[in-house]
Amino acid sequence: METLLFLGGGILLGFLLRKKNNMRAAVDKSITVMIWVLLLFLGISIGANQQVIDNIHVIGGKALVLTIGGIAGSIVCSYFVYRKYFKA
Amino acid sequence: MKGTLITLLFFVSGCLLSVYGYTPQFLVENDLSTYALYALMTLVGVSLGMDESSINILKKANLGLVLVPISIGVGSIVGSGIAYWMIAESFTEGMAVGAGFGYYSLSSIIISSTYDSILGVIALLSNISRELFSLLMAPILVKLFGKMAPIASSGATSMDTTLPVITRFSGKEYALIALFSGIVLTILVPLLIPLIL
Repeated sequence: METLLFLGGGILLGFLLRKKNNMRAAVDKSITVMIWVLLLFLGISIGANQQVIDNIHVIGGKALVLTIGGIAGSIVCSYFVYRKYFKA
Repeated sequence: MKGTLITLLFFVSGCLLSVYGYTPQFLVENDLSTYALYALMTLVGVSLGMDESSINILKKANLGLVLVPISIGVGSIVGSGIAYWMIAESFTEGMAVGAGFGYYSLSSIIISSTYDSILGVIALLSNISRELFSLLMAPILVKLFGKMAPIASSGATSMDTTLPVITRFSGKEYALIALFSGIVLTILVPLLIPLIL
């Protein structure tokens, strides 16, 4: 939850800097780079987890089935809300 | 597509570095990902704060806004339950993993310590791949199912790790919806999983 403090602080900072239009492109580029860094870290932490590596072929299939079910179900359900309340 | 491949390359590189033991020692000793996430959150905040139009969408849809995390939560839990039941596994266990909403650290800890460690690892893998899928497939989901789809796919992670890609591909006007939905679902994870199991 402490990530929300940084987000809130960032929003405040961004609000104060909202007139500086030349900063927007730099901020967006920095976001892309940080996504790359975090994905590299995510990969490193998965590769270092021996429990995940050893069982990946056994439980990976089950996990994938659950992922597909969960994503499909949430997209279908929220689509009705999207159609009724959000789609212009 | 080029962006997706570059993103995937970073993840795969991380896996390979770690598996073959080439991870720099300072990365193993210091958990830098927390600080990287803080930096990312601040940057996303700045990006949102500079965008004055994003507040307007909150004024448009109040009931609709509340229904976003509710529909995503119900769809995720029931969808995972049905999928698991279809491969001759427990419907209840499927629902519990689905109630992780992509929050893999917390959901796998709750499931493995209160129920079963193997299902905990399954929850870890399933919810990590949900986050990964959402990060990589966001532009394709928007094209196929509309701007809400990446928020649905991201689940609880739409308030932090996947918020940047949602902001980029659904638009800044969806950032606050993603934030709201992600916060609600994150709060629900530790409440729903013990109730289901």
